[in-house]
Amino acid sequence: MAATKPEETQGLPDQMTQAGDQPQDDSALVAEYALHLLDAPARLAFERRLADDAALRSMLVEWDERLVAFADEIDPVTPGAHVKPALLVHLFEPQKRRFGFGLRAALAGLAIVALLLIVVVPQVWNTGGASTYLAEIVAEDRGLIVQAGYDPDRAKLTLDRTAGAAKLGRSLELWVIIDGVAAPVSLGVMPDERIASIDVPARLIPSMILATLAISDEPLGGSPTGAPTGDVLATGVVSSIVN
Amino acid sequence: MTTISDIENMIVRVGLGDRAAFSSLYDATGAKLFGVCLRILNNRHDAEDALQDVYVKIWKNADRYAANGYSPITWLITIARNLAIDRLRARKAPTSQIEDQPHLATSDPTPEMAVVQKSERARMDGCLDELDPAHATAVRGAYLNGDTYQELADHAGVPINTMRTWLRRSLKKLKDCLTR
Repeated sequence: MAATKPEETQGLPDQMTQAGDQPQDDSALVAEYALHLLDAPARLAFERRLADDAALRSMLVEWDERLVAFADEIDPVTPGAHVKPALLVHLFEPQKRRFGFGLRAALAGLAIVALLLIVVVPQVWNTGGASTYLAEIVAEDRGLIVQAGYDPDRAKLTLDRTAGAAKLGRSLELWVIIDGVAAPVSLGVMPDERIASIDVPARLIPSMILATLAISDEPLGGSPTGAPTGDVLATGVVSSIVN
Repeated sequence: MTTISDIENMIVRVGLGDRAAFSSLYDATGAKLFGVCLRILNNRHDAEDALQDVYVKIWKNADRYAANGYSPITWLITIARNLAIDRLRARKAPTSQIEDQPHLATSDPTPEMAVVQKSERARMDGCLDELDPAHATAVRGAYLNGDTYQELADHAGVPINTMRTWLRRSLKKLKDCLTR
């Protein structure tokens, strides 16, 4: 803890004071800083002092704690729904930031019937306590919904198709779209059972997190070409850690 | 209801790199911090940009939270207010009117977040009442609107040095009153 010189914080005791300011010099200064009343040069100078002066920092904490009572009357306001996803992309996928439509470019060759990117609120997923990432793969009209849980330790993707099914004589195929990889990678045909799990190939394990899962409509048995041939019906982002 | 201790837990976990905790923290506190930004900036678009900056800063600084001495809500609100005012100062064309846009009040999933205990709020109000009304208005204006000395002086119709003296004395009185 840096020591402050007494005369810096209290002023010289027998000096004539100006309007009572001198002895409380730093306290007033700290309060002005806290209120954001100092001009830019004064602010910078104060911040430089703050960096080395623990007593000053502690005075600032006290003032911020006093003044925060004013904030009590400020009403909460819900921000636009786009703010949070943009924030998460900004922090956790900086490569995607520049190419806001990178995902769309990856899917550009396909006939996109319904495209919806969702980052889900964490839900409890019972996998016996393993760390799990979640994705909700949803069609825009919600006609197809698959809840997915990804366990990187076991390299397993657990799928729960809560709404929708393959069309008659067709298959649903699951793809993962990895940042930096142009072509979607197949994870195979969706199992017939509503609830099932599939193994994730070793080479894809790290790439799954924050990747986009997509489901396309394919001929029975899956795409013959290794790339999606039918419509992309639903997508979701593998995110959220739940323990 | 998300408690202050829940929020503190989230902040600590964010400091450890826990993205889910960060997401939860946003869900629990975003509306309040957006309210703060909106109050200062009076412009929804600017306030949303500011809100992003706020949470980026929270992500980056949460690892230092434990050592800094702040209570969790104060820490969050102080970050938000300071960033909003930085943005306000940088803005070339000040917006003086609240944009005529319907804003969404907090909907159910967003938990109530009391900033301070009712007793602390009451004490602040009581101490403000002991000040000259014009001085109390100035202190509030500085905190809630991010007004500069010049703006406060203009609003009150006094020279800037008078306002400086008012503020410094008022802040000293507030401190004395609140630590009584």
